[in-house]
Amino acid sequence: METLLRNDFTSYYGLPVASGILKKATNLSYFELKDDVNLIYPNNGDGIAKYKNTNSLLVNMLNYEAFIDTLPQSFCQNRKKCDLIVYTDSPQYFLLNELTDTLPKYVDSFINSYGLQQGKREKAISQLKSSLFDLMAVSTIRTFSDGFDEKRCCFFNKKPNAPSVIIAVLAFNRLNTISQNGLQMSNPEMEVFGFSLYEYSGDQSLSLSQPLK
Amino acid sequence: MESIWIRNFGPLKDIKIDSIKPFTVFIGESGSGKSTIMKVIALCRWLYKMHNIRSYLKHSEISKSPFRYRMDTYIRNCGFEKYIKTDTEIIYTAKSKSGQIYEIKLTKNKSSLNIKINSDVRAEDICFNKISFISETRNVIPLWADKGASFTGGYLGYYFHEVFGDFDLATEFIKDMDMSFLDVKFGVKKSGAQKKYSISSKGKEVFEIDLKNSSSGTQNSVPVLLIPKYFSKYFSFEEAFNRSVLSYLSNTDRLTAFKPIKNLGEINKKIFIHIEEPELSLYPDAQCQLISDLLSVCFVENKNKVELILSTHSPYIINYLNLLIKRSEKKANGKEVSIEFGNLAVYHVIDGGLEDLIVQNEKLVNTNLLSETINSIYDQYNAIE
Repeated sequence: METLLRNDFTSYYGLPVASGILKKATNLSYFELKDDVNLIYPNNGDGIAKYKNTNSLLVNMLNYEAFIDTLPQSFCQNRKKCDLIVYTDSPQYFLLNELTDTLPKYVDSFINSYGLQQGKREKAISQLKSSLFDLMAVSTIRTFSDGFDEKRCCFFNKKPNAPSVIIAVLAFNRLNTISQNGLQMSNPEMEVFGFSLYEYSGDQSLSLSQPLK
Repeated sequence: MESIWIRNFGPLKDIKIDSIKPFTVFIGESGSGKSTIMKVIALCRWLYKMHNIRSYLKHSEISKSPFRYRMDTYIRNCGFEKYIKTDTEIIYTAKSKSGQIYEIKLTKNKSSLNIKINSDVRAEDICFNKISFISETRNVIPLWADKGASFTGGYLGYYFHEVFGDFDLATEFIKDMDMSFLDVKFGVKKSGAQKKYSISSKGKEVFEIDLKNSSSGTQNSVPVLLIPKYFSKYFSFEEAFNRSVLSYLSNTDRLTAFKPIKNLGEINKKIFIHIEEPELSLYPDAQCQLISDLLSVCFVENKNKVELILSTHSPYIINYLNLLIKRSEKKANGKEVSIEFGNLAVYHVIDGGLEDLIVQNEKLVNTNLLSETINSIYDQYNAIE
């Protein structure tokens, strides 16, 4: 996948061949990620995206956002990009990841004049969709992703917190205690490419050992 | 089965619903277009109803229909004049049980919309529907009803007079109504031509006040329950048909030419109810209980078949739907109101399009977006050192 991004992606868009792409891999049975893949967090609560990997599949992670940012400004400026591309070594899971943090410093552009954040969810979906379109336009990348059993665009919401005496935040987020495996949402534009849209919040995690379709 | 496709109309860029479910809810920010979608659907349903009556009369040897489509008037009534764009296109379809598809297509024509309908409705597909739109202007009803006589000639807009007309009709049939969620009772007393609407206590503390002096939540929720209750339980399609169609034929001396191809009893009939923001001025508990009572009126106690569309801003109502779904799934308590998952649709209206909030891998409505504000408040709180 690195080569496909470095050579085929750039060639398709008429760009110079890209330099290094930050890549990590793990076969930990449980891990969490933040948006830069510099670190893989083995403990619950340290990251944003939570992965259960009970079969210890070798999981690769590419920093797609950082890759796009290395490309010429004329291409990357205003281009919506998701954070990570995550895929298993075996052709089982191919996943685009967008990790959303609710802290104001991460979502400044979505803070309205009253200091409240708006549209984080829409931003995440839009970044995943645009990234998918950009990637699927490159035939070799599409062929590569087509080889995987399960393809998803996933956005992970950081677990919210609040002063311990206030239960409203917990109450408003109780939906996410009902389902452990994330919520699959309808998104016809992504489904055209064989990708499903999933949303993960709270303690919901992406299980890499669910029975495949 | 009905579908709607709205393109480039007011705030709506591309809205497509392949199958409008019996209970559909739209949420979204103010100005996102929730009400516009409901109004377009209600307009199309009304046009389709009129097309059915025209077709029915045609089959019954009355070639000249009493009804003409006056799109200019409809567009003005709905406040749609400024919404029409050069590439506006609205396509509504109704699929009959036999599989026949009837299509109403609206496209720009000067400052109005041109209407095209693909074919007459076949005799076996004829249906007779009633459309009601309970607008957010309903809070003026109590005052208007009280002072109506002195406002003769006054006009508060098409939707207000529609909802007032339905309210007035409903109070001819329903003289009292429990509103347990507010612990009060609504009552109607008639004195001559004048009707008096009151709110009385159900609890220990005895009181009776005029509806116009009751709380804003009460004033808003009385029509939300009363009108659907009337249409679902008391509305007579036969009387409505006689009132509108037969009286026209009689007045124009064409009653003898009328050879009905079908009795009204054999024709499919349905009530379509559209409600803007049922939760207005209600405390969260009462919002949920109002929805429970409303669904009971529409889908449990009903004699007529009802379909319901709501627009709302309420996170409580949307979260409450998950409880109603689970009750249905688990057949929890037979007496409690529930919603069959397959009969429900919930859409987030955003950026001129729709986001389907029905979860695909669980029987749930995704309410996460409604938690964004509360999360944001406490993220901001935590961010202050």
